[in-house]
Amino acid sequence: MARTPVSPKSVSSDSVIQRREEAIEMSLDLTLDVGVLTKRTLHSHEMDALLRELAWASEVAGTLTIDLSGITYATPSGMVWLLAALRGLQRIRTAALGSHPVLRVIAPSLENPRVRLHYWFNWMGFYDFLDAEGIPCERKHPETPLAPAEERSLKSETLLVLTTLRSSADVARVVGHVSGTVASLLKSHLDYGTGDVANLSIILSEACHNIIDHAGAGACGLVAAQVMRRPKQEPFVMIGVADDGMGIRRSLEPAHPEARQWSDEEAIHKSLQLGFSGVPNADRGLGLWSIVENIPKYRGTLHVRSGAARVRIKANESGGDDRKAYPSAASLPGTMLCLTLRKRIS
Amino acid sequence: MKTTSTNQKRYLHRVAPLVLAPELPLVDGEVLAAYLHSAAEPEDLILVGRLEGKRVLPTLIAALEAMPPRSILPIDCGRVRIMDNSFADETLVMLSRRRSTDEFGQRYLFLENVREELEANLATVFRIREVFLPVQLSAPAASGGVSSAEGPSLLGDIGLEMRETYQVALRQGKLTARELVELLPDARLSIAAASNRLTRLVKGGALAELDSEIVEGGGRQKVFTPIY
Repeated sequence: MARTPVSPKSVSSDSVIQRREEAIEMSLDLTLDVGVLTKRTLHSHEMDALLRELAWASEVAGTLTIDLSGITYATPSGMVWLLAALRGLQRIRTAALGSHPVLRVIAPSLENPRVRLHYWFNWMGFYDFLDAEGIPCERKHPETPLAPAEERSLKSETLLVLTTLRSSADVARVVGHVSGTVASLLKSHLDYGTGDVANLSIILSEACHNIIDHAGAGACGLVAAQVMRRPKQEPFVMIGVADDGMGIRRSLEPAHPEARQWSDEEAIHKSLQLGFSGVPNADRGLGLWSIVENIPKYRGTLHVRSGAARVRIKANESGGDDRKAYPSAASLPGTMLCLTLRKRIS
Repeated sequence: MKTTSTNQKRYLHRVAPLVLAPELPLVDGEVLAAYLHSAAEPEDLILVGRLEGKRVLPTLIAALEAMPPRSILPIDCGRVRIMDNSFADETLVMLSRRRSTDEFGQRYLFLENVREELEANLATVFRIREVFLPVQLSAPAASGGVSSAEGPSLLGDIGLEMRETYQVALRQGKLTARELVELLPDARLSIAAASNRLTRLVKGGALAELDSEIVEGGGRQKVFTPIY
């Protein structure tokens, strides 16, 4: 895999770069300190440096350890993006290195008793997913036995614990859960009416179906959602959706062969347009466009990451949205979304 | 104003509604929603995704084609809580387009018992896809949610003047272009413009064309009636 030269400002730690280079050249083991790479915050739009390192780490022949012990805060979208990246990384490494190289995770620490991130990870199903994917995770504390996922969502502000998406039936279950089981949470925390809950459900459906329809064979999707409440801030709902599939640019190629020449950023921008789709000769291209259409109404923000780019679409005060791109130097497979929505503008 | 002699009620026949419910048998041998309902509210349907829409469309087409000409198929949406854009695109939008090309002859459809939240989404999808369908909304949830609320209306990509024309047709029961001109004096319509409006509503499946009638002084004129 060709590597792009790294500018000192593009990563959080020079020592990480040095260790990575040595590990690649000498087939050594490598540990990525996620706390350092993400400033201790596992949140989707603060993960660029981590995701870049994970992409480069696909070349490491030795054991690759993802150390989460240094993080003190995480969001549902951060968790979803990381897990999709790890699954994608495992697939790349297995294909490139010809065996099943070891990828392991060190769980968040319990050192900080206020944070208790470890418990939240367990609650959301983070460890269950790693177990299911055969990725070992070092946990110093046994998990508390958990209630079924649907009950967990009812007992907290978690709208949706980590849910794997492999078929349309999985998406239907997610939509049914959010539009029915936890609709009361949306009504009580965000004052959402029936129409708002329906809107949110359709947004979820479109985002999740993009994975089923476009991620490609062998890909796996993940989704999680939660009502976020912070001191002195209006509550909002956060939805994280991600997959380890072919990414937006490649998914557009069947209908737009010229997409091979596009940058990932360009492909993301195109995919947000009404009617723009990777399916040839079809009246399609409603999915991402319909999500973006809702952003001004709910004063929301959407981050779309695919390939080597991330684009942020943020509601502005004029009733429209502003778009900003964050290019990266290395890319992981898949597409990742983080959507936040607030109370609807009256 | 001249009255027509054709009896609308004898002209159009309403068949039994096709109820979108989990147990609805599909032409592929399955039922509509072996798993698409919500676990929390199993009476409600969650209809999402293009694949599911493509699976359901042949059943809707078969129901339309099985009717004799001059029939109306009500599609009962009373149990549909969520229908996403993709599902609507592959079913209702597709049906509306194919109907507008006269593929189904004088066979009509309308949506009934459409919930408020479903109406909002369908309106967006129909507008984007430049189609419209006649619908009957359900009453507010407080009164049970499935009884008829206000009269039928048109949902989708249709302008105010066309909605106005449709409302006139609903009030009158049947209508000619000449009568439309007289009933909308402020619009200052020519006969040709009025006829265009009525023809567009026929093409969209909101009105049916009855047998033409003889006009005093010679000639014939077309008579239209709402399908609902």
